[in-house]
Amino acid sequence: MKTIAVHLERCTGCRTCELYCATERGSNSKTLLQAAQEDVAPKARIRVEGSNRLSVALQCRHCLQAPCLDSCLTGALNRDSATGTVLIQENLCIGCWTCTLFCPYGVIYPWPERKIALKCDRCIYMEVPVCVDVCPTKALVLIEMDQYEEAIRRKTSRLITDLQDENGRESTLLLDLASPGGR
Amino acid sequence: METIHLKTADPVSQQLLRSAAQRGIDLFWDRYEKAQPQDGFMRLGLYCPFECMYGPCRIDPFGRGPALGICGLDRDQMVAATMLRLCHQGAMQALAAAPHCTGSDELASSSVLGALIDTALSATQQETLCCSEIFETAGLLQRSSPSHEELLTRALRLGLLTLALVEQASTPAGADTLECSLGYGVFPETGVRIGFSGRPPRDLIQALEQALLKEPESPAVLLSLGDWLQVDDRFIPIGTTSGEAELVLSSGAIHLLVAGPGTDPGLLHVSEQTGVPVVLNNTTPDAIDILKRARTRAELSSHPDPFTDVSAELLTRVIMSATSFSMAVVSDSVDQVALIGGSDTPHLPLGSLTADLVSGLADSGIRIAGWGDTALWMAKQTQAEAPGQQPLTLENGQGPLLAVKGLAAAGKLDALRGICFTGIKDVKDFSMALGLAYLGCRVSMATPIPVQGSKNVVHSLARMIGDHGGELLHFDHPAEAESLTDWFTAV
Repeated sequence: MKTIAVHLERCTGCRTCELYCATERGSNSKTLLQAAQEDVAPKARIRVEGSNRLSVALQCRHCLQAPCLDSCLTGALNRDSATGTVLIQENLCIGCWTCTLFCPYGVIYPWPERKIALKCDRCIYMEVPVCVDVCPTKALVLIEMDQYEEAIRRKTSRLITDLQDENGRESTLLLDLASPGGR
Repeated sequence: METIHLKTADPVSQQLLRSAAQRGIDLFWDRYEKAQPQDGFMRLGLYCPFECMYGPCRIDPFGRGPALGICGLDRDQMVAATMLRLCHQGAMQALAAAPHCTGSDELASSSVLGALIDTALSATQQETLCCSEIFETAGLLQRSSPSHEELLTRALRLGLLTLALVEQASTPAGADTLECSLGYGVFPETGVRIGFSGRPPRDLIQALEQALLKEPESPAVLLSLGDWLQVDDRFIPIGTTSGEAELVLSSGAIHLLVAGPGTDPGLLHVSEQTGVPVVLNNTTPDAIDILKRARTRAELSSHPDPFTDVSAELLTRVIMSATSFSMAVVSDSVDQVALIGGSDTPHLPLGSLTADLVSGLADSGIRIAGWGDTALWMAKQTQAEAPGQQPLTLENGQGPLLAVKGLAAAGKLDALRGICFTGIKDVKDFSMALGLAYLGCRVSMATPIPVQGSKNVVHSLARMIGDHGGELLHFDHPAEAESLTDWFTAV
């Protein structure tokens, strides 16, 4: 199973992923320059949060035990058995947005203009998700789950080592993540 | 290399491209691909760089992020300010080439262009143009508090000013027309080949020519890599378009590059990768030393000439004055003219749009005139045609302006069906394109311009240009030849 991972130290907060996600997945025209002229502003399924010091692209984790699935009143949310991806059937969504309240990561968004909830589906019908494809610093990558866990393990061990050797204070954790050295 | 046909339409260039790829040389297409997608905010015009130290600011086109810049600039103002910034830069570029113009200079309305500008401005009761507007604009961009319409008006006025400055910067040629050799066919099979890029000083070119005359036993040629370099009353043979210059350097066919001001840094990178010596303009070069270095490189180089088998030397007669354009139009009884020109751009395969446009307009009865890289592509495309059918070539400095003045002087401005910029590289050309549209011409730009971030700006721009009798066609994607052909032939 593949997932979108974010290298925090590479994310510059440019929000290119947001622009192109909204264009490719939320617009009728599918081109940025036309999408910007559409009457209903397209919305992205990925969001960049944070500040100049630390930014991070957030999108659906497709939780193994996903609260949104249980909360959906109409059965619009369901899991694709082949990929494990949590998908939304927009024609079944009534825009009650209960799922947005239950999502522990806050990555399902209401789209009032279209009366639907909006979430990342990893661009399941495309070879590579749009956000991964357009990320200028390659902060977003599509990797297998086991690779993801390995990467997290390596990063965590490096961080722990750094904290013990140099800083010793938990408050420096964010600085370490944002440092250009690439931890 | 499945996308070779998408990069250039020229078979020789495709061969060179293949060879460069096999040797791992990075060319401008590679850099273009790696730069994708280019900054979306900037492409939309919703980006305010460091004009003030609050910046950089951006506005989210889709509404989630900021709706105003930190200073309070709104979406329409930001896009209009982007346009103004480009035109301002374009006017500055033109001003730099016309150093005798000072801040207090008012445009002389005695010239044909001056009269055209006066007519255009009087349509909307505007004041006479003055060079000081360029400097005033710098202050305006600091805090763009005027409305987007006021900012656009200023941008369009700077477009007109750019036209006037371009005219004043041009040096009158001694003849009405000059002959110029073009294409890969100008590369000789043997001997030393010295390439020029940018705007190298004329006295250096002349010194090199003098030095070559003294050594007839070891021949060497001077070639331009994409720029129209006039020395006395002739042009240096132009071996390539600006888009092909890196390809030719990568092939080893050039033994030394003289890089004048305005040279793309990419040419220097390719020279470095391929070991071609470079002489920069700021190194006070000596002609004898340059020749010596080029000969040393030629002796070491074992590259066979890749062009002579397949390419013929092309000849074109370049129209150097508005008068000679008028005469050409009158003598050929031309009643419809299309102006097509500009620089190569990575947005479109090199030469393809020109080739398709020339083919598309072939049976329309419209006479084509071209400038810049496009003129060279036209020469390649139409070399087999009779002289009366071949497109006219315009001097590159003024380009379409020369033709507009010529038509106006002959009282045949109605014959102008449109002006198409197939590719824009410099902001000066962008500013000129807007100026021509504001002058009342039909203008199209084949590469997208950063206005799509605001509907109001798109509409206001069209209306303001329309009020002056002009038209500006621009696209939200690289243009297709069919749309442009239809635009030229539409009544």
